[in-house]
Amino acid sequence: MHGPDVSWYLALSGLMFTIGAIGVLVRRSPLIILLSVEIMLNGANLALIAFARHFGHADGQVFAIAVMAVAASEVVVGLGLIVAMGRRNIELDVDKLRTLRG
Amino acid sequence: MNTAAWVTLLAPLASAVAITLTGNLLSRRQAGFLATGAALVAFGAAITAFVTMVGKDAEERIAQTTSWTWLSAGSFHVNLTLLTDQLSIMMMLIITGVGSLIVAYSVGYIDGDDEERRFFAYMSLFLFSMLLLVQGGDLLLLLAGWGMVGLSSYLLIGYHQHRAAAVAAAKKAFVMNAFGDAAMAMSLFLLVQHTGRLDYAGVFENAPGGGALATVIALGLLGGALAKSAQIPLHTWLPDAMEGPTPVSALIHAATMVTAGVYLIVRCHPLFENAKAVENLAAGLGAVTLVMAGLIALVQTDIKRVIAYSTMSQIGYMFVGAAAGSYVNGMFHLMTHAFFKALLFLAAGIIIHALHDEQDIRKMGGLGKKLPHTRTVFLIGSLALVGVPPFSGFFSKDAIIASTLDRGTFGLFLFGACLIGAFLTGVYTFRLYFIVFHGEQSAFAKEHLHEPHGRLEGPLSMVWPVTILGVLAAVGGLVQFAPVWHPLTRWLEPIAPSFAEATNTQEFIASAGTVALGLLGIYVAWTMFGAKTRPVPQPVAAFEAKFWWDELYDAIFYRPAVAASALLRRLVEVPLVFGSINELTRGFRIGSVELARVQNGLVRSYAFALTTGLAVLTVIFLVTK
Amino acid sequence: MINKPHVDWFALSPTLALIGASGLLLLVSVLAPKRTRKPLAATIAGAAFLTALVFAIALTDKSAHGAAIVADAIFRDRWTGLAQVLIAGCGLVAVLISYGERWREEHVGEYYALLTAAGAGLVFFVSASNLMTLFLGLEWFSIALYVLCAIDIHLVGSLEAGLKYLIIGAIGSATLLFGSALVYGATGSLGFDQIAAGTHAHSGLLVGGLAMVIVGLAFKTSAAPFHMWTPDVYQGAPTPVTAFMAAATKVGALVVTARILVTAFPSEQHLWTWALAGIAIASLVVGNIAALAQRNVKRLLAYSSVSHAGFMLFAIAAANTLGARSLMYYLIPYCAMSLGAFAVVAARERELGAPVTLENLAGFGWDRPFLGVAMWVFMLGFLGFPLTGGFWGKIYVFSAVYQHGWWWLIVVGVVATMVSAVYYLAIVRSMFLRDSVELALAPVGGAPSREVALSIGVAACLVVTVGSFFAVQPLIDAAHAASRALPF
Repeated sequence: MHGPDVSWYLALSGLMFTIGAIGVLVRRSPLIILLSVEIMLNGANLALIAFARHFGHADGQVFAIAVMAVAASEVVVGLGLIVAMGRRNIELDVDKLRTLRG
Repeated sequence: MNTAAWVTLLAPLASAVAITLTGNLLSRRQAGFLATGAALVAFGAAITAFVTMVGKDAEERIAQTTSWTWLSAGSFHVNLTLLTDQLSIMMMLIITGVGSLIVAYSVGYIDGDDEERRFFAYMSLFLFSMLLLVQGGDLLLLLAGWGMVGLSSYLLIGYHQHRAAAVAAAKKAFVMNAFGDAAMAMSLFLLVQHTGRLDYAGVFENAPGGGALATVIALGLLGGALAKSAQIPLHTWLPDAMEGPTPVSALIHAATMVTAGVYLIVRCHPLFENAKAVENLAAGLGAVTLVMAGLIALVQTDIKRVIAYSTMSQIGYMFVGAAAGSYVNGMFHLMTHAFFKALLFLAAGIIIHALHDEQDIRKMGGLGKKLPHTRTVFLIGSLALVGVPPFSGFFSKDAIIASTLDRGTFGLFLFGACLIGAFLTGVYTFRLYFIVFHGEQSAFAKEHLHEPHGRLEGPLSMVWPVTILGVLAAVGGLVQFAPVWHPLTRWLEPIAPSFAEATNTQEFIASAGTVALGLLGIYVAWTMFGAKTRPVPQPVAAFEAKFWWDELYDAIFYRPAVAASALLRRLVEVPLVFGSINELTRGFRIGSVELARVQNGLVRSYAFALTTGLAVLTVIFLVTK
Repeated sequence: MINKPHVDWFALSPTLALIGASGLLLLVSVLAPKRTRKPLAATIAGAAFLTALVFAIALTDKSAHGAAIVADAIFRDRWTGLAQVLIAGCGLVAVLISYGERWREEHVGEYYALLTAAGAGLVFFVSASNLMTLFLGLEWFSIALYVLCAIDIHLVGSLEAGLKYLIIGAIGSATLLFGSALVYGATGSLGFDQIAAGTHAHSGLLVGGLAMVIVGLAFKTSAAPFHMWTPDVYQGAPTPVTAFMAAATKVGALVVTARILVTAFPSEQHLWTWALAGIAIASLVVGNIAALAQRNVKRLLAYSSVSHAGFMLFAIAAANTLGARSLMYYLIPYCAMSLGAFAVVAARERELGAPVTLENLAGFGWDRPFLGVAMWVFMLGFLGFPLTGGFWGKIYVFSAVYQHGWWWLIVVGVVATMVSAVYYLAIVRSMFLRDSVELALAPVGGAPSREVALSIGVAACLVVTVGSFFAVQPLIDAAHAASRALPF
């Protein structure tokens, strides 16, 4: 097997996951938040692919491709909601979405 | 499957549910007809079941049908099982037969009352509860029926909910019955714990054959029976229950509720036979009740209360019969009593109806000429109650009294009490009869007794049931005449074989004594109230005050309880409980508000909670793996 | 030459019926004339759920011996089958509740298409037998639900609810996915059975992955502290959607949680039993206390669903067959009570044209006696009163916990139940003991319309709620048969 040890990949994927999570926590624009979620999912994807290569199986890679499709549709729904908000002149700031609380 | 038994049980329930659910869609009259129809269907089904059973051999007559198993854990099963045997079918026939007559009667009696629908729903529910009690195939259903009878009697006694007395009476009945229910539930629990079974046969087989446990179990059952059947010392609710509408009194006192205690003793006779002392206690209490209730009945001035005390007294006879080991005679008297007591109540209802809800017999008098039909049936009922041959009461009551002679010295005590009771019955029954029907019309009656619609004795729906009951009260006792023929004994023998049998000589002695004393009682009543040849003596204070039972309970239970609870409230509740509850409530409020503050609507705080939770869980897992 | 796995079409039939109907409904929403769209779409959706229900029942009946099928991607056994029956039943009732909702006409077809798609996703989700199908099923129904929550953009908060659910849901899914990746890394396999077989006991990777999988699933069950989206989304979403989510999602998430923990992680039982017990206690505390101060009924019921998640997690935490059995049984009346309660809220909402609060429930019990009595029964059922299945549900959960030796959890559960009485009875009180006149509330548009479909749905829920009390033995037997599919 060539390339770095699988633990490096794992560390990188963990880092991506964390960065994504922090992005969700600190950013206010729903678009950027969706992006951060994508980073989290891709972190997991990286781990899957790395392990798949490590074990020499294909199932992890298949899983990763499926995840990409799912992530895309999730983003589509998210963008749709954001467009709907824009049409109704709602400010694109998740901190302003506070009518439901308590 | 025993379809007929299921129809009997479920028809009244269906009517109760239908009347409740349809609400305004159903007129008052339609509700009445629905309830009557359901009761008649139940009666028809009960007859069908009876006929089927007669066609079978004696050994095959006991039919147990399980519709479904509700819960089963190991060998312990909770089923919905109906037991149809000779005893339960007899109860079914009495309940549905007399019950349907009473429901039919109330169609005329309650007419005009705004909430008639509710009344008929309660009546149907009551019939269902009582049928559940007698048809249930195991102890759990018995207890369920037992409790439901208490509940529906509460609803019916308190039917006039705007009358404070009615509400108080309903409450009293419920509390007294809850007392009995608790005692009974305790002994049922002990039985289940000891035997691990619920069905009658299994329980009787494995029940403790003697000793303290058997005594405690029998005592608990006796407590339940005493409360339901209004026997000393749990009897005080019954006279007050007269606050309910008259058909309710007829239903509770004649066909159903109060007979449940007798049914319980007969049904669970193996358990009582295992505890002889308790059995004797039951008989003794019955004897005391029958004398005491007779004495109180002598001075009552409310027409329904006189009949109510007479019920207590007659149930006392049944207790003596059943507990002294003469089960058949106890059941026999239960049956005839259902006929003539329902008759008396319904006839009294006609009088009350005609006099615009007046129940005080001092205001009545000379009603016989205006209400000839009522007078006739009332006379039949009275003669049956006193036990004058050939009316029904004679056969059943004499059989009980005779069988006490088979029980040695203790039996002699019972015998004496029964004879005194017979004399008292004659006096109070005919005191009532003479005061109400005999002589000149009273001023009150003259004023109120006139017929706007030409039907003074009520509509047909009231007259017919009374007439049918009159016929039954007259000839119903011919079913069995101990020295000559005894089909009833043969019928019930497989379920409850009596161990006290009177010889023909004993029968003769008892009959002669009872009839003579009964007639003497009638004669005394005649001289005092009918012919007025003798002055009426001052009523004894003890009788007037109903032997101070209410006052006694007041002093023993109510006042100490009030005092104790006041003390507890002052010392414990206010400073400790209220204080801590207040603190607790405040704490919850604060917690709730704080949580609402955390739930601030910000997506980031939700995400933060999620990720923090994740981090904490991961760390804990990694550390403790 | 590609190796094609054998496909057991019968096992897939509930999913296929629903997803097929979803496609058909999309066509209907374009092709059918506007006038017939609403009844047609509702009929197709109802028929689809009914078909799925029938298939699921048949499948349950014919799957006495559980097995992983279609290249070990899904399970065909009674645990799956019974959950599918429940989900299809929930969908059927949800269709009945939805019919009277004032949708903008052009959204009707899409609404039912999404509802059936969500149903299909859930039905697929509960059959998952490896981490990939698990994730796909989860996303499948989640994405459909995100849109459903936001579908009524005229409703205050519907968009907000949708977006919030999407963002938090995406984090939850990402967590589950990352956990799956770690578990895959630790064991080298995705299938539940192989994970259990290939476990290198207590490796850090596996344990970390397990924690993330638990969080991802606990999020879907709305257990504290992962529940915070629940009140907002339940309140903001259209009420029929809330009803479906509250019932069907809970079935899916809990059934799958029990399955994956028992099947894939038996060696880590000492960890997850405690984790679930902790999460369950947190849910009971948070759900019940937070519900006390609520005035909005949907929000209140959302917190109540958090606390019930706690009860049902008790059943899983007990980690014995009795627990699995009691979970399955508990779900039956719980689904009926949730759907029924939200249906009643929907009826009131349509009557008033405003969000339902404790205040404006006043007099409802007398105006609409059937719905009032039904709501009363549902509240008593949530409380666990006899004559409702909620009673046996709690009893069974408590006995499962007791069997595990955790009597103190029973104490927590009983105290929580006592606290919950305050808010459940508050609903009953405001329906029956307050007069509508005194609040001067009048229904919009004159007399309230009597919705037959909704009433049928409520009646069905009522029958199940009360029926599960009386028919406890057959239901427990079914739950018992289902729990045999789990390797305890």
